[in-house]
Amino acid sequence: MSEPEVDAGVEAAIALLEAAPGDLGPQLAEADEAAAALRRQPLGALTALAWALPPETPPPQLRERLLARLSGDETQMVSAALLLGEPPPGNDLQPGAGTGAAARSATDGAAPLRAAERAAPRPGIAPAAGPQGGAGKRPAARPSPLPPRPAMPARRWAWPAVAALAAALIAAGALCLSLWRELEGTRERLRQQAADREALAATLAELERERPRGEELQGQLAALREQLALVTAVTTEVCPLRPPARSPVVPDARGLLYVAADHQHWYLRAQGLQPPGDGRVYHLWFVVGDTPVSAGSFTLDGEEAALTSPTMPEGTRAALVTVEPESSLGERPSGPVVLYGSELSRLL
Amino acid sequence: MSPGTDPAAPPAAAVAALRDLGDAELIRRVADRRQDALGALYDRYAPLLLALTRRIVGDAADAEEVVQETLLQVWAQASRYDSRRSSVATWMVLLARSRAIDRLRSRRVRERAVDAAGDETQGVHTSPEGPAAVWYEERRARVSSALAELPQEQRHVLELAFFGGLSQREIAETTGIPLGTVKTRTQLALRKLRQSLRGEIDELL
Repeated sequence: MSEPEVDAGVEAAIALLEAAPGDLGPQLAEADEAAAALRRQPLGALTALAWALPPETPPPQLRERLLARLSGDETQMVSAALLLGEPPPGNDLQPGAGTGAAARSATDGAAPLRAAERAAPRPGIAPAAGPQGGAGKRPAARPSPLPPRPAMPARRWAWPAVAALAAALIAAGALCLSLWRELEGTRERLRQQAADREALAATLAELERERPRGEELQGQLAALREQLALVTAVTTEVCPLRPPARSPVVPDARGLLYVAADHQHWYLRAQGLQPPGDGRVYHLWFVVGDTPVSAGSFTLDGEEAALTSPTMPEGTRAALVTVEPESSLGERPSGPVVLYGSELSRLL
Repeated sequence: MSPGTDPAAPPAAAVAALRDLGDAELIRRVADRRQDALGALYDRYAPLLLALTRRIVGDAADAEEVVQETLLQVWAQASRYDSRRSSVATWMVLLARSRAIDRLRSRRVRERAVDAAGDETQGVHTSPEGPAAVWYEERRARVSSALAELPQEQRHVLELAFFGGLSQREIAETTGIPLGTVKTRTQLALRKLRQSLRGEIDELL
């Protein structure tokens, strides 16, 4: 953008600020494209004044009041629906009428329209009246149940049936006993064979374990050498991680993130951590711009933990460690921040 | 409001899903009359908007009402929001500022804005849990650092304009600074902020 354009943008932003504030929305929306493009950056710079303020946590009732005012528009539809015994129209933040808000899906954008449709009388289901209803009867919403069948006479056939059943049971029992004995014998033979196989398999497994053990140890040794080289290289950058200044979850936790000169290989070492809780793990995130990128979970070895990888997203400016549910990790952190380090933007 | 404890709250999974959406997508859903999307925007920006309106009007109750009115305006005008003109955050900040100054002027206590121009210690400094609070503090630190680099006289006229809703002429009359000087300081401050916050502006916008 040229200097005159920068000046014009600044002037446009100032003019917008000085405009009558009553209806700023349309002014922001209806300005011509050129003016909007010029003042975009100065306006953004102006909002920095707001961002520099310490945030204020609003009282809970403010949110409730806001939603209550929004819901006021649907009051008539709700009333009409309730008169018909229907659940209120779909609104994900309204209390469900016993069916749960999840039942009204996230795409329920036409809820008011459907509520109106429900409020309209449906053909074929008219309240009972006239010959069926009678003077003192309520209109039937469902067909009345069929009259019960008369009971069958039971005493004449009961005893023969019982006797036949008993005989059948005795015969079945004898057969089962015979089969069971044969089955047990077979099972014993199979158990013995299985035990022999297990013993052989255990021996083979032990032999197998011993063979790659050396390879595994070699691999571990190579990984440790890489980590040592990364940590001790003079070109490696070190970014400290600390608990958040306010409300630290683990006040004694500390971390060091070692980043190799290629800005790809990295090694995290964290200390002073406590068990994260049942079903939870510590998870490392790299922050690119304003977007967190998952970098992996780690478990504790006592109070310490380590994690390493040969890849780091380009443009990483910060790193943070959070506590996350082990089985349902999302694309963004959902748990509290345990460690945080923002010096990457300076180092990388 | 905690989804895990309030029986009237939406399921935690739904709340988490909304939390992962970008501002533009939330505004689209608000335009589709999705109250949960407006709730998600509220959760994301209410601390910022309340800090801003409180800074302008001074009174906590008035500030809360302005925040509520801002969100209602977002609800009413979401379909008119154009991402090419500003970010959602900038749009909401400017709407809130506009309404707060309206409130301020209606109470005819403009002098409070001038007196409070150098006061940034008001407000309740509570930090919600989670990465959002950490990023907020980090962004605030970067923005504050950029503002701190401005000469005090430039920052002063900028704050009078932004928080006090004063026109350049009114700033000149109130402070006794020549109008031309006020204009120059404002322009220089904006140019410098625009330059030093270039990366932030890309995110804010």
